[in-house]
Amino acid sequence: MPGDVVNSAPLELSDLINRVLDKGAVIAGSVTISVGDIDLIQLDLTVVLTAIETVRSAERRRRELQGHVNADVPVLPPE
Amino acid sequence: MPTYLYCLRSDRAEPPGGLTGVDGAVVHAIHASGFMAWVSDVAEKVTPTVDRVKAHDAVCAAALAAGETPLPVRFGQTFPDDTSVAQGLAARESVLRSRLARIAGCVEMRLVLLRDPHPASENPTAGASNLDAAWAGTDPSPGADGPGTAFLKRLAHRGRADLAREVGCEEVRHAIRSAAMSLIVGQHPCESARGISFFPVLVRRGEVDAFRLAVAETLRIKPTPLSVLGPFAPYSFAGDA
Repeated sequence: MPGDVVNSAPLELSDLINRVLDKGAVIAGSVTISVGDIDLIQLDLTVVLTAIETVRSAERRRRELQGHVNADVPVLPPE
Repeated sequence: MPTYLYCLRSDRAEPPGGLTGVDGAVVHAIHASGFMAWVSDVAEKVTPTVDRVKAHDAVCAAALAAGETPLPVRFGQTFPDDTSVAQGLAARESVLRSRLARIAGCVEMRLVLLRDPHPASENPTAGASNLDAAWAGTDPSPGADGPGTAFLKRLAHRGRADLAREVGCEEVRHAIRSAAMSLIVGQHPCESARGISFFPVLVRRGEVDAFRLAVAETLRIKPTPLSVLGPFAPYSFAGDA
């Protein structure tokens, strides 16, 4: 099923935050979400970046196993 | 004590006993202007944390399971007391009623892409200039750059990847719309936020499985790294945005 493409836990968290913070009916004027003192967005970005790296690593391994040059995923040189 | 608002509904379904929301407060119902509002007490202004966002969504999910489709309210709306909630609902009764009618009997599915569904060809530099290759992060002479140039090229590549993902997301959305047109009650264009691209779709509650199958069939024909999340209370079809 489509939902099995990636490990969905970080994805679901990121989607949850997008959905609940950005959407929904507004009853009394506008709602301002302050994140100034909260690590919410930083945490969000961290888990999403982790998820993306996981997917890219899996893709790299798959391509290497197939004997292809890694064409679409940039591989950074070792530090 | 301030009142925190989660969702509205037009039926008379009460919150299940013991249901808790933000900061563990018990959820109760307020009747006003023909609506049933699910609320809880809060100690102060509610700032966003992951736990609170999860709690808000859990209450809306419980409301969805309890009866007719609720109108989910955006995170963070607090009122001085229950009476103020009732006054707010009365002031917006007409528009809220039309939104409840719009989502009646439906749920939101969210289709999420994590990366570009159209990766570069196996030889991305063929036919392209060195500049193009550099912007694509595939400089044909790797190792020639200093660390600063390499860093900028990585940034450029990320920018292109974001753009490609958003364009690709729209293509996928159109393909799924064609395949599942009869199952889609409403949809919005793709958005990109916080590292992912996604689009929300409104489907009838009894047709979620059929919609999933239609998406799976589309992906079988057009393989795409897509995740289908949901069903949810229809946040994306409830608001002003």
